[in-house]
Amino acid sequence: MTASRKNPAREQLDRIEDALIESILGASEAELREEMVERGEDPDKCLLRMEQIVAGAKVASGKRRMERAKSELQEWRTGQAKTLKFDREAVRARFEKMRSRDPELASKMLLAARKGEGLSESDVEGLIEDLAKLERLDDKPGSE
Amino acid sequence: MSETDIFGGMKGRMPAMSQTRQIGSEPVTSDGFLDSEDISEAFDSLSPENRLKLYEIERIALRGTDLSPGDLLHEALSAAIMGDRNCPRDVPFMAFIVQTMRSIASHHREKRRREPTDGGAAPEARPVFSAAASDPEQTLIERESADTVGAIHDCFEGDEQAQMVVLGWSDGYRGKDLRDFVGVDQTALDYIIKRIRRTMAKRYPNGWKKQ
Repeated sequence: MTASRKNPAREQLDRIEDALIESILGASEAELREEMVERGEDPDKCLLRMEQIVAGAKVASGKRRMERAKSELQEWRTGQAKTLKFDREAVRARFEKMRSRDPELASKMLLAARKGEGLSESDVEGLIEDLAKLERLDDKPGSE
Repeated sequence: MSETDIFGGMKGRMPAMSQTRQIGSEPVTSDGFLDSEDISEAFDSLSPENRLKLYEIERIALRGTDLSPGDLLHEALSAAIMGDRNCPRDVPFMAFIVQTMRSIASHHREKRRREPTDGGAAPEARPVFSAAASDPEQTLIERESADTVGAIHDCFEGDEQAQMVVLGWSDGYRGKDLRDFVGVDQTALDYIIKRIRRTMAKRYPNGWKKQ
């Protein structure tokens, strides 16, 4: 008997597989056990084997998740270090350029600083970090 | 033609692997999906009956892959725990895991087809169906599928009723349509299907690999 040419063979095979799986899903435990015994398999050993497979999958997944977490943490640290180093040096240069070219800005900064005594080093560091954040926002797609 | 949805509406709803969303190493599960602990619990709470069903279904789903029994279940469960495959909360876990195993098996089959043969060259296809002749890969898939369908029919040489049921299945018949096609009542159909299952299990003890 040859396969019907009405549908492509792959589709026919998928449908046969669907039907067989459907019949298994509809079978009772007793039927399945009987069929397994008939072909020489021990259903209880099969269940034990299932337990082992599941335990193995859980352990393997746990290890993979741990590896993934370590790798992501490492990536994050590397990326963070690069960003901070780059931002700090480049942004400080840009900040100093802005301050030297704009006397009005320099004057406002002086007034905004504590008791008109000028910006402390930590004030400058804070401004550099704020500027870096603003630049990162500007670089994001969709930002104006 | 009637067709019962045995897969709990999973067909066409399986999220693609690329759709998985992740934050850090944890699968992100919006309220609509089971998280990794839910997956473990869902499996742990499966009855022995359902576990035996999965065991049997895996053997069928293995066809055409290089995987061994147990591999598909392992991969499916791992993918679900890792969040590479997401189980919608409104889908029965059995349906999800069955469809995940089938989907993974399908990927393995595709991968295997793309691998070069021993000689180093891609498998040469000989045209069988004119519609697929322009695509060698599709032609090869069709040829392999046709060979398997033919081999399944050959399993039931001399058992006309079983052959009719398989033929009906391959054309998508179910329920009343299948009964009418074969010309038997439900009790007789159940008996024939059981016979088919047993014969197939004996013929393909390790899945539908080429024997």
